[in-house]
Amino acid sequence: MNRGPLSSIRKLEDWSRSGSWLHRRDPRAKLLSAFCVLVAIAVMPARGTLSLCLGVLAATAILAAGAIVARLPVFSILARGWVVLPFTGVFALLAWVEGNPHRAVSLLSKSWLSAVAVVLLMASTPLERLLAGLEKLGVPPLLVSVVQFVWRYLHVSIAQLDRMRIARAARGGERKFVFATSTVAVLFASSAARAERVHWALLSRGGESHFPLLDPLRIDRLDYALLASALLAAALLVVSGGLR
Amino acid sequence: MHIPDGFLAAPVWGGLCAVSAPAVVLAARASRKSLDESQVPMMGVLGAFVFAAQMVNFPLGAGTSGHLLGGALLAATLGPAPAIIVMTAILALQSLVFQDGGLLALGANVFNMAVAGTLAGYWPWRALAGTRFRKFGLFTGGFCSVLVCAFLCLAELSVSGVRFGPTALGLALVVFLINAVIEGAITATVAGSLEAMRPGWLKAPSTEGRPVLALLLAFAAVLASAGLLLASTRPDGLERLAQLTGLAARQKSLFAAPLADYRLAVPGAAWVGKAAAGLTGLVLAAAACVGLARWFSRWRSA
Repeated sequence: MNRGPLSSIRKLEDWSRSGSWLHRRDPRAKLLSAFCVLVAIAVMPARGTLSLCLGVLAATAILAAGAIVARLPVFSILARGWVVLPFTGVFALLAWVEGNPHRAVSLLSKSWLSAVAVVLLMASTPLERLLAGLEKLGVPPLLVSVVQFVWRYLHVSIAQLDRMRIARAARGGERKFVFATSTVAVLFASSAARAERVHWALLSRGGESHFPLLDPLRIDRLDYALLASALLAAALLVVSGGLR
Repeated sequence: MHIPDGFLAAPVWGGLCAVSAPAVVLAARASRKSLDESQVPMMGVLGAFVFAAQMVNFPLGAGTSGHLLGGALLAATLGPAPAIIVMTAILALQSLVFQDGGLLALGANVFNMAVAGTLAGYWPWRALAGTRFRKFGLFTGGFCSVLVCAFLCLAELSVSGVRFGPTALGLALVVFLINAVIEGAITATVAGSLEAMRPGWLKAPSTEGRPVLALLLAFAAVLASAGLLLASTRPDGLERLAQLTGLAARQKSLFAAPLADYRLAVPGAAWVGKAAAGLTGLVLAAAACVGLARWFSRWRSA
């Protein structure tokens, strides 16, 4: 039980609320641009050492440029990508031990760059606008509502878990499998009760289980410009990663 | 088991996105049909519960601890289709906000954990809920869901050209097996205490249908994912698989890593014939399974 993840996402939330040029773009344009860049990173061949270096440098430069345009702290954005290290590091180490350092470096850099691209997307787009964009792009509304509810009540559940942990510790609680089981069962029970209260609250407001946006989404010419430059960047990446 | 971007080959993540997207849409449609409006906040708040419950450490002695994954527990309490939606929502948030699992790999992660894992966790429970082995059904559900996720995850990685040595693979399998037992134990004990609190929470599915069929489905899911893993770690097995699905003929350059020595100049007629043969085999096997299940259930009720 730790608060690590929540304190780290608070920063992402703060970043996503500023008002730069990139923040003001339509979430659909940003999603599609991020998708283009991600696909380019994924299919970038990078067979030789030179092309791998060039590709990684180009991708880093593009993402850093995005962070500068969004007036975000470039180094913090790039550093956040390293959360993928535990998983990737193991496989990179395996590849290195098997005598394939090129593959190890390629795995590490590609998964880092992809994570940075997602961080940049999330740091420049508030979650509710992103979800509204996803719904417009065809994601089932039920799934979008569920994501919104999970996000809204995640903090409540974690806070409750923390209170339960402190209460148990204050009564000299032991670390035992049975206690963890009952903690989870009680958390389930109170979550179910909370869901019922949430439903009543929704009924009292007219029964809409949908989160409306304060200002609606709309696409203009600048959004197309963003998409075009993302496509250009993606093409640049594939070319620079494909050089011999 | 969250796969980040950069690991899977393009046909693997692309193909799994193409499988997961319709599966999630179908699950959304099915849950819309079976649930009323009050279930939407229930799904969301229980999703938040699973997210938080994954942070509870279950001490296992000797300083180690495990944690719940939750797919089987959700399937037993909400039903399979809503559980798929909730798990997908959790995976999407983990990928977007926590960078836990890649965005392009989301299709693969959703397929492994939300679709296959949830169904593999649901079928044993559905089969055994009405019998004396209720608890065992919950345990098996948790066990199968983790096992299927792990097999699929490893298979996808190795098809994409991530090489494991036999030692690493064996070690990974042992770790996943232990995790599967832990998940089964946590699912069964938590569900047991829930049932003691209020019996209505665990949805006992109508066992009018064919419980044995459900059990066979769970078995088939475990066997199929294990077979996929086995096939993907052996190059000749993979060639067979590729011939079966006709994949190799289409995706030559992108599949380069594990299929390097595979002759791609297969004449059209040959692979169509092989694919047809494979497909016929699959259909026959499925028919045999269904027939066997029918016979079993009749034999049981007689």
